Amino acid sequence: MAAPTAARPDVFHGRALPGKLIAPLAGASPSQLAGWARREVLESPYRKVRPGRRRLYSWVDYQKARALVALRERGVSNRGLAEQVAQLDVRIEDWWKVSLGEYRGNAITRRADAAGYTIADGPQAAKHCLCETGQTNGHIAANAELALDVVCALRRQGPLGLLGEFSEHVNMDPRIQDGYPVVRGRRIETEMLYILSEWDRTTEYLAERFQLTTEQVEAAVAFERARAS
Amino acid sequence: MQLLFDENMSPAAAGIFSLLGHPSLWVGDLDLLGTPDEGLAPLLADYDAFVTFDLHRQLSERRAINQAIVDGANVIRLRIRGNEPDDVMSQVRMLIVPWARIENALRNRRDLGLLTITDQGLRVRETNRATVASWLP
Repeated sequence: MAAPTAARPDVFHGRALPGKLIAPLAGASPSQLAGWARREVLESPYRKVRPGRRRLYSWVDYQKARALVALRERGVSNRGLAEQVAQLDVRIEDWWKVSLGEYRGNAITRRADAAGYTIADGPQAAKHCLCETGQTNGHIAANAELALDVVCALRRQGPLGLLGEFSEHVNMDPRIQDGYPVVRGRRIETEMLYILSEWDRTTEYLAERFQLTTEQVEAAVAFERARAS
Repeated sequence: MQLLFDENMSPAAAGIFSLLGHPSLWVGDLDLLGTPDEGLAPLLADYDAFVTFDLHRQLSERRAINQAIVDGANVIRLRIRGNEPDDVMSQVRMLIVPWARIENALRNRRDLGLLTITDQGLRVRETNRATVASWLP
């Protein structure tokens, strides 16, 4: 009989993102992330990190960190943060996919007739609705409005969080390069372009070397500069 | 030896390697630019090795690649430091200089998973699959 093997974590739950990478995008500090992990607000367990290694978080952790920051901005006390994030899990299934433009595996599109987002479900659009006003199909409990408001804010920002302004040329998706920021439509990490540019490679050289446009290279380097600053 | 070159390698490097007698493809030749990890990883085991370029990522963090290695793929990682060149000829040179060792390792070491090449091809580090498996979180 074959020995049982441990289930592999999926791309959303597997730990691959360093705190230093996601903290500035979420609007938190790496030590805050570690603190939330220690208090078990994040899903990745808090562990001591061996020298030379970095503390890693999952995509869900990254989205939870963004939600925690958004909740704090909306006046939720530190004590209430964990409870509110738990509400997200209860109220909105797979909410950590929403910033990728997906919900339950369906694409989210902006409705033409209202200030909201419709989740296309096969040929029947508008089966579910994530509105910016914090209502879904008009049947949402009052105490879920905060959770919806936060998820809609994550949706508006997109996967790059506070650096969403770069989303035309830069993307983050846990299914591509473990979720590291990459040039949109490619698997070229922005950090690689940034480091090479710091080593005096010109934009034109990098564009030719990686088969990119100069706009893509410039945006990737600017994104990394903004993340580091 | 049939190699698959990652999209962060130059397509011309794959072409030159093919001319040298090792039929090689660039990921773009397979219309897989920007493909998700789960689309690329299962293909890696179909080649003798997957060649990728890396500057900065700590190896233990490359979850998708490490999982592919544990599942049976061989990966050659070209790593440069400081201002070492990364143009097409440098990429080819990094493979050609230690080629005898690369070929020997790929043919004879069943437990081999990863070859890391540094110092412009002068240094090669072999890592077995069990070690790579221990890096998975």
